[in-house]
Amino acid sequence: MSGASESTTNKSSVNIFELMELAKSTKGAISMGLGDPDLDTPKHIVDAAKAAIEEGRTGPVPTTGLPELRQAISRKLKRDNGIEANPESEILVTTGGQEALFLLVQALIEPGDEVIVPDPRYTSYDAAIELAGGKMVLVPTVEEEAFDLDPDEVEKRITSNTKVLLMISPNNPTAGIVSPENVRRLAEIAVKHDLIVISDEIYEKFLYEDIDYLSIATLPGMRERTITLNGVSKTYAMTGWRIGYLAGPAEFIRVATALKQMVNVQAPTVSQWAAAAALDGPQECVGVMRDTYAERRELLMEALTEMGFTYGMPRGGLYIWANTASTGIESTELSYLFLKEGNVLILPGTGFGDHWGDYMRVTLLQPIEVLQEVVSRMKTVLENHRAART
Amino acid sequence: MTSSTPSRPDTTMGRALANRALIVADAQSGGTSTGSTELIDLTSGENRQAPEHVQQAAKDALDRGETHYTTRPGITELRQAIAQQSAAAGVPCTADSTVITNGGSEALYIALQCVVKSGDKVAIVGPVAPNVIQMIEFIGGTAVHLTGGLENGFYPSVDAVKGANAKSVLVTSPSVLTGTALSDDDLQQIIRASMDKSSEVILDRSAATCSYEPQPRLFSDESLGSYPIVIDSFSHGYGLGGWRIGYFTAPDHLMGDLRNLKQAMSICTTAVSQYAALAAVEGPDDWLTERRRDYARRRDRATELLAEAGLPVFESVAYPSIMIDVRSLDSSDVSVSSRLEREGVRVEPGSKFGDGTAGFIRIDLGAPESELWSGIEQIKKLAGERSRT
Repeated sequence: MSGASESTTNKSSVNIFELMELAKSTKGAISMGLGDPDLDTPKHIVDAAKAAIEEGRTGPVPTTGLPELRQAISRKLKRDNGIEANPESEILVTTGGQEALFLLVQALIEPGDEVIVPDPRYTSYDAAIELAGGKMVLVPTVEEEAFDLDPDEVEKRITSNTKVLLMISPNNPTAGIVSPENVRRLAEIAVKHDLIVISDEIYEKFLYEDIDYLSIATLPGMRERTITLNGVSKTYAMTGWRIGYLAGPAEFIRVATALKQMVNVQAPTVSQWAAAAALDGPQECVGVMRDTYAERRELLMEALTEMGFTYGMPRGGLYIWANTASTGIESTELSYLFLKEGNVLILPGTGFGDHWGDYMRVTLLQPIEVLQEVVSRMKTVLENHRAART
Repeated sequence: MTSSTPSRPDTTMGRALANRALIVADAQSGGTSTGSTELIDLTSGENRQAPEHVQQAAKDALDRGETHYTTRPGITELRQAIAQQSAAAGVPCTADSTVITNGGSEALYIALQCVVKSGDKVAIVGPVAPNVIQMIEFIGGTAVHLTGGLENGFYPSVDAVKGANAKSVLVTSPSVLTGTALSDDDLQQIIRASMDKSSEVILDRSAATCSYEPQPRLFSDESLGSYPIVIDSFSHGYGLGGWRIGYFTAPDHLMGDLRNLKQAMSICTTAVSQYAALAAVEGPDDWLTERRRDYARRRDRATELLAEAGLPVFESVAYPSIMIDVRSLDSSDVSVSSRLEREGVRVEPGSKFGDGTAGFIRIDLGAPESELWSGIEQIKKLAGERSRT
């Protein structure tokens, strides 16, 4: 680690968190900013947390995580993904998915190491990689291919310094999925070039097409070189609880655990009981949430098309990555325009990489009647703008 | 910790992590409890429970659906309450200069990561746990660990701190380890010297609430109070260790970097823990008064019992842990600790926290009471055996 604290600033051309705080302080504004499900955490999960408090199960637990939660994670990975992970040595519970990515990057990346990152991207990876002194090597993903990750484009960028390939599927912000065929080819490339793969699967439960989700850790030669990142925040609408996890080879988990112990000792105990209840409990709630998001997605796809926007087919996740080039307005400017004149915050593409000024990230994370209002406000702003131009 | 897996330099992962071996070794020697049920563990008081009204507030927050991200720096009500409490303690700040963190250690890591540049010397003032030194080294700094003798409660002299010529200074006071605190006069001199050199000061006050009596107001020279980054935690004082809740306050010129790093690390702090902390700050605090009395009773009793065995206890004034002078038993505090562990009692050797505390062993008086007295009986027994040989 270089200690280059000056490099922690988000290097995309706009700080999306500042925009979100601006929206929060704007009266009557509808925020489509945070990736925070509007749905509430299911009751049986909340009840499990309350029971933990009432029974005094709130004290310190091992840095690796509450044993019951690690066992639940191990069962989940086996059940849902076919991933084998020993709860004693191959799983680390973290304080949210964000800390999981922070820890794993600090554990793996040293100055000069190259990380292959699909672009556009969730820029928190930028901050973590820069802090570790690593170099991001961006692989473009494109609308025409629904933002799938092209293995040929990845392989072209591999050098002797390449250490890690990052895969985020379903993707934030593009809603793209790495197709099973491409996952297999990427696994072969990782083995051939001796790369470590970070597989960020935090949006895995929200798929909108009949597609077999494939976790790369299950493929031949991949278990020993893959770190799977996941959490309960998105799947169970539990962002405020701050529980994520890493699964990977024991030698990696040992290092990540040492770092975890150093930076904040353990994930919060009450939240860990809640997460265990989420993973071990009834899963119908996840299907209900998926159906809710699917309905919203349909509404937004239609409305965006009416506005003259295009998009790669949003195959998974909680967003639509809309191409707004037809407005003739750069997306940061358009974002401010929507906020000032329409009282609605839509994050600009520049928050996800500085050359994505033709795109915006539209979230599925508001109730349908609010989304209808968002659409109406966006349309009015665009109509007014077009009228002013003519 | 995880089970010990042999490093495998022949694997991709093994090679990738080769330079991290030291971190793991340090973490393991850091002595985190492995949860053995056989041992009486006198190293931690973290099994204290939060008071009833705090637990109720947490449950109420869950009932209200406070299960979403909060704003990055934390809920406004909590930051306002902390700012008010900080001002009363002599640290003027506002809600805007306060950030809630996942425990005091996250606050400390963020502060060090932002302040310490690669190659910088960091003066560490007073005994600290090994993970603090580890943090500084991981960030790329050089830790200059300064401790002192009994005459200054294990803290170094102001001249020693000035002489270290460090780019930044970390002061931990009160000390969870020794139960002592740096005098206000020394703290002020250290801050003035740092201001002269434009170097940053981090003041870790994580133990301040957990004391025998309310800590005196800091900074008789009020102009100094807004200079340091101040770290605090709800773990020790409020029994919220497992809830992971702390905070830092900081001067304006550092807030941008500090907030960005907090966001990069964990976005925000656990919502339910923030509401628990809010109830803790807002009171009532009669339970705290009661708990403080209990700590003093335990300290006085422990001191008396150990004196019967000829073991002096250094005066603990600011946090319920005690340093027991075992130099009459053995030249090595590590060896005394090992012998006690073989007898079923876990204590910490003082040398683990720096040279100043070598020759002492530490026990935390917040351990469950029956274990505390049984453990002390074992220590007395060891002393008795020694005096007979």
